[in-house]
Amino acid sequence: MVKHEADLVEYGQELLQKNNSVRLIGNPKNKGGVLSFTIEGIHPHDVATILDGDGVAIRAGHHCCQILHDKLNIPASSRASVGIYNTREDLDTLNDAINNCKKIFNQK
Amino acid sequence: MNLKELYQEIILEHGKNPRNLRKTENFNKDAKGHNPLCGDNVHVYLKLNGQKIVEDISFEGSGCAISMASAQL
Repeated sequence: MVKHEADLVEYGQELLQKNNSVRLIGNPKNKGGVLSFTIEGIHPHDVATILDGDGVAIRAGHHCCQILHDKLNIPASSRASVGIYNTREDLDTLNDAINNCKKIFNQK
Repeated sequence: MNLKELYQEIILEHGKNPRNLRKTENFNKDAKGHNPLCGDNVHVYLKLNGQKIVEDISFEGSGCAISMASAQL
């Protein structure tokens, strides 16, 4: 399970790093099954709403971690989690949904 | 309601070109609003003249597109 999650996180990080205007947050050793990010110019709650419309469920907001968000100087963040039930195709769907979100908000 | 209905042109347009998103100089009334559940922040500034007529109104804040467009309107 750990190996599967680590593989998905690595794949997701590579995918999102290539995506312009997506900023990944946090890259520790032994990273757990989460991908936290922000999209330039689009509030995380808007991201979550639009991704939901494309069948991608993510969490947005403070994640009970207001102090860290203050330190990072961001109002909120988006967070996708992966587990044993997810596949690489799910992360492709996430990336497509992010691109759709950017299209709706006219971002490059 | 589908997404297109929710994210109408007017909301996206206000998100791209914000109105009155600044701090009024020499304001004499202000109010802060914060929603800890969703994290939205709005700080409204008013400048009233001697006849209590609004000379300038503005706000600073952060939130989703719908919240920010509402604050601008």
